[in-house]
Order: sequence, then structure tokens, then C-alpha cells
Amino acid sequence: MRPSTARRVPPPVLSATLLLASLLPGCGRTEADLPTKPLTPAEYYIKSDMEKFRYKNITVRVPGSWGGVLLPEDAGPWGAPIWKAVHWGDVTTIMGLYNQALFELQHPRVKLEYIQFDMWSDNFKSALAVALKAKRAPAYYIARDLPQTIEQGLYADLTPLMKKWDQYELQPEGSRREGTYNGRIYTLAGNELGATIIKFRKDWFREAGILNERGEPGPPLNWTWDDFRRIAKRLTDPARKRYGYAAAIGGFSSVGYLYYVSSGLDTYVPDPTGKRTWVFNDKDPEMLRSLEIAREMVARDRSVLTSVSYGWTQWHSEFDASRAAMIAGFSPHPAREFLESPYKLGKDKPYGETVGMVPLPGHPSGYTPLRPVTNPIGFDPTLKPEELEAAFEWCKSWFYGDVFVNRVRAAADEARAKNRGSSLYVEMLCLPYKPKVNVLDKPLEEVFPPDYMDFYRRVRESHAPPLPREFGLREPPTNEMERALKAMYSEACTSNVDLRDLLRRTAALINNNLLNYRNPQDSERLRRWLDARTRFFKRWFPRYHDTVWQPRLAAYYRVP
Amino acid sequence: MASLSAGSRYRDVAAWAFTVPGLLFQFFFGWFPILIAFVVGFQRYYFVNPPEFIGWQNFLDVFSDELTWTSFRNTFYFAALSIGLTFLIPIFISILLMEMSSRTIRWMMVLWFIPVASTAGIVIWKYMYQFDMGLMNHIMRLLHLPEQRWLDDPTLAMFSLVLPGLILYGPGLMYIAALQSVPEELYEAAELEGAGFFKKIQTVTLPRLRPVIAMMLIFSVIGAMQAFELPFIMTGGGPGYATTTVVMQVYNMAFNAYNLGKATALAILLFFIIMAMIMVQRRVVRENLDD
Repeated sequence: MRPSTARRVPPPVLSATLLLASLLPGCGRTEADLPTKPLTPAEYYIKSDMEKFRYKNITVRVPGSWGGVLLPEDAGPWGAPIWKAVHWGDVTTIMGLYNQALFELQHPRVKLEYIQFDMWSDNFKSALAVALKAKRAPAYYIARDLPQTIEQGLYADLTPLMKKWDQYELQPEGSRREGTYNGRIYTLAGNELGATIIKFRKDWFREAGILNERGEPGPPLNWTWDDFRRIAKRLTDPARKRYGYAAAIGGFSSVGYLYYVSSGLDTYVPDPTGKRTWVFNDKDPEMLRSLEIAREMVARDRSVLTSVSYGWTQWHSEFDASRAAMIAGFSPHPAREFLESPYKLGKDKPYGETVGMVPLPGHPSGYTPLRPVTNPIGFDPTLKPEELEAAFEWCKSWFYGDVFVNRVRAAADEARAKNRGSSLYVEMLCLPYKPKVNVLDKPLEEVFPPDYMDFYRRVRESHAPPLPREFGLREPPTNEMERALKAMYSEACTSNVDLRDLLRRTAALINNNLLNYRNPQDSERLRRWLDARTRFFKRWFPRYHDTVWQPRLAAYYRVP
Repeated sequence: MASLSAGSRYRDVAAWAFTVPGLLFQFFFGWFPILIAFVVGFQRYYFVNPPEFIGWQNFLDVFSDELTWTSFRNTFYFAALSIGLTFLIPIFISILLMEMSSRTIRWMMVLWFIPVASTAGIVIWKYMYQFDMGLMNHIMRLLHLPEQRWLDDPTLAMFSLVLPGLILYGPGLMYIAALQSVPEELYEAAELEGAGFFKKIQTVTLPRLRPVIAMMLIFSVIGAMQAFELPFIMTGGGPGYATTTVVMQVYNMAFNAYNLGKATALAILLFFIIMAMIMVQRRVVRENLDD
């Protein structure tokens, strides 16, 4: 047997190790070590490396897909990723690092961490849930599926920060309403202001002699649903496999959905029996009409290219492949394509002369469903107050402050070097905020076609109606409601079922599954919401208020 | 004696050392989520806010939801079609292939294997089903048959979903591999007994394939009952709810309706139904060659 003393650690070594181990935690960053008075950038700059390192105790995790930039994953033959970025001429990345350094200098306690976090895939929601539980989420992220995600506690309350923000009012009204829940504000409007549009082929309108009041190819400026249907039918040419309109069979681009949005119809209305808060709005004849229209256009007129398999990409591809005269979209996209892919429809078809955009068809009474929105941003609810404030400051700088100015200039330089259209103009066209300095070298009117500018003028002037969530009313899950509507419209268009029966079945399903709840205070809240809506319509759409809203209110919006 | 015991101890340690990582992996990614599911199924679960215990409410909601039964009906229909088309047909194709030259068999195996890159394959099928530009209707026109609205026809949609599985899902490879291991002497003996082609299949081929068939059947049933990607990518569950499967319904409840408790309750229900099906199946289709 080997002597056991061979394995024994000498007592002095053991004591020294234990002592060292007990001292190690003291080497970490503690609040007590930090200067009590906040350092100015100049004071911070003269500190030693270690002091600087310890002073930076507020971390903001910036997602790579929204504000952060990520260095190349490998260095290649250049030795370090940063040199690879330099030698590639990756101006955007280098400017991202510059902005990181600048922001950290301006806010000495803050350390920005650019991280990889995909916000646009189907996995986003589950990835975010896991990241939040693991305290590894980005400081801010896209706020989807409002207001359910607010109820889930996915966002920090921004109300105090918003109240002292000088550009709060510049946010589009639709975005502000979307992110407000029972008087508290949970989201910040992103930087891409826009609205749902109909994108159309000007050349086909010209060929067919369909001109607006100004004599330009396109639908009438205040077009209605009847105009939409007539034009779609007229532009459909079975021989050339051209369709008037391409869309998903349900969902926001579908014919039926567009119809009821155009009519100012609500999917759900107060339950007159008081058993639930809401019931599906199947009693309003306009809902049945929306099903009839969908069936007529898809199955009878055959003017709509549609399928259950269609998503955003497919119907846009049909438009780009010259198989559809009109599609639904989001207004910043045509503006971006106009600059970045000016000949995507053919060398003889300059984008601005070939593609136009107009608001969705409106109601004959003058109601226009033009609702200005941006992608809303929510902040990690587990952030400490100082982290939340730092992340908010970063967003402001990124949207319209120093970071914004630097990044758009870098993008413009890069575009100029590559002889491509600069995205700077699109950023400015769609920016809801006021940048610190003017970054444009020419007015936007000299860049974009007049109809694009006119559209954006209308977007900026338009208003969004009050939402139930602002009054503390629980709304059904948006996606599930859309799924139920999509199922209803797709069944109407692909089978010969009786539409009244379909409507009844859908109502039963939605009422039982999505609307089977009620809060004791809801009657009062419903009244306040309806009063606000009435005031809204009276102020902005007086003719619609008198001729449509008031009769509708009396017939279908009875609060028990 | 001492060295034997040291060797035995070493083997014990080695056995645990090799097993523990796998066990931990299985625990954390296999059993633990199942255990947690049985907790979440009784909660109103929020992504960030603390959960609330609500007893059997999620299960009651699942049972009273008409879509639960619609999705189960669709899933059973999908499973029946899928097993009929993509499980049974490859067995017979494999048996017939064994009659070909070994060179042909090799080529067929390669061809059968190539399209298994499934997601890309699914997306391609979506375009193949397109009404006026898709390959399927082009073939129908060549054959002077009426064009079909494959995915957009509620009566055809489910069949259209299963069809790609015939090519994308490759149990045929397993059968061919199993058939190649059947001793030639068994066929020779059967021939000496006067057995013809079909008799040989009945008495030699199918019994020898039984373990593989039994195993593949379990995989097929589990796979079909958990169908998600095909309807999710190709139809989104439509038209109407014609192709909404149970797992799609679970996904929608969890990530569209943000009702994780109800989604988990439905997943638990599906778990027990699949378990029951597998238990019945194992009693009916024996895996052991000698049974």
C-alpha cells in the first residue's frame, strides 16, 4: 500500500489557497468601489483600464438584427475579424463599432453588447421565452401579438420614460395605441413608419386606360370596394395568366378581410347578453357580405390568384413575376425597392414608373382604413431601472440621434461607392422622428415619385381609432382570431358551403374558444371605449359617423 | 482476487462514466420536459409572469374545444393515409426491387435516398401543386385528366399532403437493407418445396421482414400522429381546418394564443393516445421472429 501522506496537501499551501479563494470575490466589481458621483466622459476617459472596466456596470444587449452589428465570424487570411471587415470595405460594421464606442463614451457606465438574436423567424417567440427565463434576452425586441404578449409580461412598463421623452408625440398614433394597455405604455414605435397599401402595376393600368382624377395610371384617389372589384376583374386576363389581385386565401391580404377592414367592421362587438365581454360580429350584414365578395371574386370572377399555401413571399413573387396587377403590402417596401432594385421588373420598366401604391379601398361614406404604424419595440421586463433607461437612450440615439446620423451616412457612403441607390432616403421617408441634424443632400421630393410622396403625406396625416386594450379590456388572441377568420374565408372560397351556416359555425367556434371570458368591470370599460370611438369618428370621419357608425352602434354595440 | 475486484470496479466506473452523460441528456431533454408538462398542464402559464394553478381547467377547455376533435379526426385521417401510402407501398416496392439486378437496386436506393432533404422537398412540392403553373397539373393535362386544386380543395388537401411522403420518407431503404440480409438458402428451400413467387413472399419474405415492419410501424404511427411540418408549411392547416393536425393545434395554442397550459394539456392527451396505440400495436404485431 502506498503511503497516504503522498496525497496530503501541506497545511501552509492549503491555508494560502483558502485565503486566496476568500479574497477572490473581493476582486469583483462591487457597487461600493464605484465613484459616488457619475463620471463625465472626460473624467471617465482618464481613468485606468481596470477602473474603466469596473465602472461599466450597466450592460445593454443589443440584438444584431436591430441596431447591433456583428463582426465577421472568422478572420479569414486577415488575422482578426475586425481587419477582415476593414479590408472587405464593410463600412456598416465599422460604423457600428464606432457608434458603440461613441455611445459608451457618452454614457460611461454603459457597456453595449452586440448579440445575435433572430427576431424574424417562426422560432422567435419560443427563443425569446427561453432567453428571458435564462436572463440572456436582448434588451429590446420586436413586440409581436399585442396585447397578449403584454398580458404575458413580456415587456417592461415604459410609461415613466415615455412621459419625459420629447419625441413621444411623434410616434404614429396606431403604434402608440397598440402598445398601450390600461393606461400604461409598453412599447416604443420603431423606425419604419408605414401603412398597409395596395401595390399596383402602373403600366397595366395605363394599358387598360384606368386613370385616377389626376390623369395618372392607378385607381381613383378615394376608391371604394366596388372600384377594387371592378378593376381586379378588368385587369384579369386568363389568356396571359394575369390576375387582378394576388393574396393569401385568408389573413390580412385576403379579399374578405380587406373588405371588412374597408367597411370599418369590427371582428367582435360587446356581448349584449353580458355573458361574455365580446361576441363575434356575425349579425352585421357586412360580415356576410365580406364572405360573399370573397367567394365571388375568387370563384366567380376568378380575378384573384390565391391559395392556402400562399404566404407573404408567394403573393409578392406573383407580383414580381408579372402575374398579378395588385397585391397588399406595407408602404416602406415599394419605396425601398424603388431605390435598391430599380429594374427588378425588367430593364424597360423603371420601378417608379411601373409600380404605384395607394391606400386600401375605403367606404363610400369616406372612411379610410389608413392606419399609420411601425414595428413596435418592447423592452426586457427583467432589466434593472438603470439598464432599461440605458437601453431606451440607445434606441433614441439609434432612431434619430448621433448613432442614426452616423449609420445613415455610412450607408449612403457605401451605396455611393457601390453605385447603388441609398437607403438613406427610405429611412428618412419612413422616419417618424426628428433627427438632430439634416442628413439629406436633396429633398425627398426629388428622389421619390409624386404618388409615393403623396401617399406618405396621407399616412402622416391619418389617425387610428382607439383600441379596447387602452381601456383595460381584454382582447382575444390576435393570431388565433386571424386563424379562425382565415379558415372561414378559405372555406368560403374553396367549397360550396352555405355562407350563413359557415358564419354561424365560425361564430360558435370563436365565441366558445376565444371569447369565453368576462371581467366584472367590463361594462363600464366598454362604454368608455365606445365613447372614445364615437368621438374619434365624429372628429375625423364625420360622414361615416353620421351615416354608418351611429346606426351600427345602435344595432350591434349594445352594452349590458 | 484483488486485481479481479479492481478490474470489476474499473468496469463499473467505466460503465457509469459512459452511461451517465447519456442518462443526463435523456433526463434533461427527454424525461424532465415530460415531468414539467404534467405540471404546466395544470397551470395558467405565462412566459414571464408567475404561473397560476388552475386544476383541471386546461383539460376541460381542451375537451370542450371543437377544434380538438377536428384536429384529432384530421390526424387519424392523415395517419391512415400516410401509413397506407408511405408505409405499405414501399414494402411491396422493395420486395419487387429485390427481383432486379443488384446494380438496379443500388441505383434505386440512391434515388430513393436523395429527396430525403425534407424541408426543401416540402417547399418544392408546394410549388408543384400550384394550380396553373405546377408540375402536378401539367402531368394531369398531359394525361388529359381534369386539373385539380390540390391543396385548395378540402377533399383533396390531406391526400396532397401525404403524397410527398411517398418519396420524401424513406422506409423503403430499411426494407431493402433487411431483405438483403435474408439468407438465400431460405428461398432455395422454399423453391424446392414448390413455392411460387407469392408463396415465397408469404412464407419467407414477410416473416423475415416482420421485426423491421413492426419497428417501422411504431415509428410511422408516432411520426404520423405528430405530423406538423407538412401541413404547417404547405397549407397552414387549411382550407378551413381541413389539414389542421393535433400538433399544429398544440403549436397554435402555445405560440399564437399564448395559452401554454391548454397546449400542454392537449399534448398530454396526444401522448396518452399514442402510448395506447403503440401498446395495442405491440400486442398485435410481434417483433420477434420466433413468435
